[in-house]
Amino acid sequence: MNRPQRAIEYSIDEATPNDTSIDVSFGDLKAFMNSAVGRVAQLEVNRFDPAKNIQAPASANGAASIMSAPSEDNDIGEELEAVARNKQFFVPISMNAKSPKSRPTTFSPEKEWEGYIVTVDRDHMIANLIDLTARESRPSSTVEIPFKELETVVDIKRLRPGMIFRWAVGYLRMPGGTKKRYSNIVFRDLPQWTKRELAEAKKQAAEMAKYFAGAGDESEPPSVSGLRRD
Amino acid sequence: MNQNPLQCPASDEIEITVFGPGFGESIVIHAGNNEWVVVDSCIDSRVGRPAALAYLAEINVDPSTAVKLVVATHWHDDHIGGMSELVSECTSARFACSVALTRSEFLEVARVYTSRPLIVASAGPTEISQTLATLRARRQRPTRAIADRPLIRMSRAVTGGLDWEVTALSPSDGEVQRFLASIASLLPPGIPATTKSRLPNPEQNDLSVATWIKIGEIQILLGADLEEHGVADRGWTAVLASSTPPSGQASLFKIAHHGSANGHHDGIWSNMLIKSPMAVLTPWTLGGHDLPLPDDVQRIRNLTPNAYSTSRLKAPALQALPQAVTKTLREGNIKIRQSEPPTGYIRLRTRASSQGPSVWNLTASDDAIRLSSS
Repeated sequence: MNRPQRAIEYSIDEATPNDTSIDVSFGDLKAFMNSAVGRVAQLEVNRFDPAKNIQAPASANGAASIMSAPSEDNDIGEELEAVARNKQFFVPISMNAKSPKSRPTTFSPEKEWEGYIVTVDRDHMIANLIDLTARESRPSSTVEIPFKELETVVDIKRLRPGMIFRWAVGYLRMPGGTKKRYSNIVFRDLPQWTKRELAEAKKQAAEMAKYFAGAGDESEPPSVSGLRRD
Repeated sequence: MNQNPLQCPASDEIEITVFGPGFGESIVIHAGNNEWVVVDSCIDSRVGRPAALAYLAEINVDPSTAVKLVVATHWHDDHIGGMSELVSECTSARFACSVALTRSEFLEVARVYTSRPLIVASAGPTEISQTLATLRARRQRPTRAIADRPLIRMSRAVTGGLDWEVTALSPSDGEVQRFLASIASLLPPGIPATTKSRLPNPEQNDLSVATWIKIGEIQILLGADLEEHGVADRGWTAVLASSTPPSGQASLFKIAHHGSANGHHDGIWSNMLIKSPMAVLTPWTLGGHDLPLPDDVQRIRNLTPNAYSTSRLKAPALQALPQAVTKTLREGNIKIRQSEPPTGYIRLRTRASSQGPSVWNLTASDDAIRLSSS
């Protein structure tokens, strides 16, 4: 399809833990653009007929789904599929992309977890989940996720114990007011350890070890009234 | 089981309370005369703080003066949760841990994984690092636990009370050397071209500090997570081969390694324990795996009729998830459950003046179970 593209202003908002927009905690533009919302936002950019109403994916795992448009909107559906297949995004786009003629797509999470992989099995992974919605700081649930639910969001071969991901489940509110269930898992590409960090860790460890090596067994316990140590 | 109101033990009562939420373990011991020992730490899921501190607060014991010794049997997540907070509040206690945890080989791993906390999920090395930092700020050094070394020895002759002592039974020198030689493998592979992650859960409990507690004539064996490998200088074989074994037999056993087969050695039951001792385990669940297994429960039942678990053996399903989550899980064939059962406890008391085999009076939380009826 050869359609004119129109300029749109974009805003990039800082993600905060309580942000209810789609950029809540994901912080990964690429992953976002691969997601259903990214595709919707992309379509907002590409489409030439503002009157056409775009629908969010009905699938629960929207991030892993090829988006389908309403039947009367086949051309847009084709365009969406092409975008999704090619993963070609022609402009940087924020997760709060705002069209001048529509409200931004927003995401209201019902549950959001930080997870870390415990084991990687033959066809699934098992992870512990920390409920960020409940502001927990330690795992409260354990989940078993089949690989088929992850194939489009991560290279399965990369999965290894200790990897961190964010998982949010909730509802998308589309510009037209439609509300759709939506789930997205994003594996976090944390920074690499740097040589400086490692050298610092080694130095601190050596310093601590030197301190603890001194007379640990012979150190007197803190004073205990009425008692003596043999 | 009925949950009785918690009350502080009498001055001459010996008490041991084992907390176990399903992924964690903490043991609180009253040695008499308001002197306490805490072995390991876990978070009480009911209150979200270290189980030992929550318990002591509940019975109006001041940890800053009453706790004399805190032991970290090893650095795995399930035995170290909240340890830094525990040690911070037990300001007059000495802290004991495996000698290997104070060596630069381990401390480097701990520093690497805690140098920049980018994630919510902390791990065992973080707790150890924070604990050691607290000690250093106090200008205190840990008591380094190794096989056959007393961790604390209290003489109460002056006040007419009972002498009491805690002795480490492990790790052996061989275990320590093996650990230090292998610890570098826990550093991230391919540094510096490796992205940060949480430290994966280690598989072996090769540094676990099993302890022998003697209070007057009452003897208690805490098995920690010590495993058996069938090798002379490792695990329970090394403990049983000690040239200075504990004298006497224990009437109370905290079953090793959550009742698993690899924590079992026949010699423990024949040499170190009285017949039909009181035995308590904490269940363990992680990544879809549970301990003890049904075979383990049967084995323990055959060894003593007095075996208990601090909580249910399986974590229950999650309740009351939002509808969007429930549908998502169902459509994706995703299985989710609680990480652990609710925190439960087994509390045992006996009189310090008891002669011969101790008679332990048991109180348990509603979540605790007797293995013979599980």
